Amino acid sequence: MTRRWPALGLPGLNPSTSRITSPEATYYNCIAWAAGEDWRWWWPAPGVAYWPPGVEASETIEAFIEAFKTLGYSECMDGSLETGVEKVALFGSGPAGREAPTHAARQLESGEWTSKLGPLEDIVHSNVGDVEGPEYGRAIGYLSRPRS
Amino acid sequence: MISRSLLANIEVSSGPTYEHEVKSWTPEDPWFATDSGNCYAPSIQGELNDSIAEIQSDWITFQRLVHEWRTQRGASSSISKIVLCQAYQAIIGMGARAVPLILRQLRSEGDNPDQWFWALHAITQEQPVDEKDWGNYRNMARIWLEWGSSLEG
Repeated sequence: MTRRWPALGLPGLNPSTSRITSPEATYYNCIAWAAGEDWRWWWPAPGVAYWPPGVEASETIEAFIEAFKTLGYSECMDGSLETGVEKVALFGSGPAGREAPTHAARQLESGEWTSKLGPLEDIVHSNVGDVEGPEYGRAIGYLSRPRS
Repeated sequence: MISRSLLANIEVSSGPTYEHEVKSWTPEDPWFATDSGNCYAPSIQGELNDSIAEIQSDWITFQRLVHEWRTQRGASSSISKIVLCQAYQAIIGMGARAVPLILRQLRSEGDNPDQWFWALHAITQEQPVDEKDWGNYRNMARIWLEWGSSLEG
């Protein structure tokens, strides 16, 4: 329900910037969705969520970068659209340099971005910054890999 | 103390909205119907009614907390943030009384199970889910429901 988004700390989302692409689902999250999965919850929470084997289970941006590296991603400079390249943006909030991970979004071939909003819907949004705000903080890192 | 077998005889189905449930609920309400008239002897009916009233009160409290928790967690993916919500902690604070309520809620959610596994583990100190299924909430729900059923048996 788009009218909820501003109240959820996502002030950049509205019908002109985004559209819903799935029903609400509580069994997968944004990290899974950015990683290409829609059936399990990724988070460094042993016993409750999936986390790639061998990656430190800590809520740090560094650990999340390592998690995506297990999928063939490497860090890149920005979220600009590049032909044949798939990009993921990592979001965090908190003091600069010590942000806590909050969200991930994946770039589509069109240049738009797709996000799973926690236990809510999947959406497509025009710009990576559309999901910035009180809930997810800001995009603080990007990763890329060849698009398959 | 309410026995697990007694609780098992109270059928809960998905009903109208939470607000309607709380405001309009009566013992005859079909969303929270019981089969006590057929299953229990008149001699224990008073005790049964007390137990049912206690269960009903717990269930209403639980549903209020579920509603509050879903509002509080918003669009967060962070499990630490999600489980530290005040309402979720209040559910954990209900202790063992919350376990059958959580399992019943989990069963009612079907193929869209919610984040009940942290609470179940925190309360019971059990971990019936193998590492290979961590994060697979549909499998985790099935395994925890089987765990609950094994206690009833």
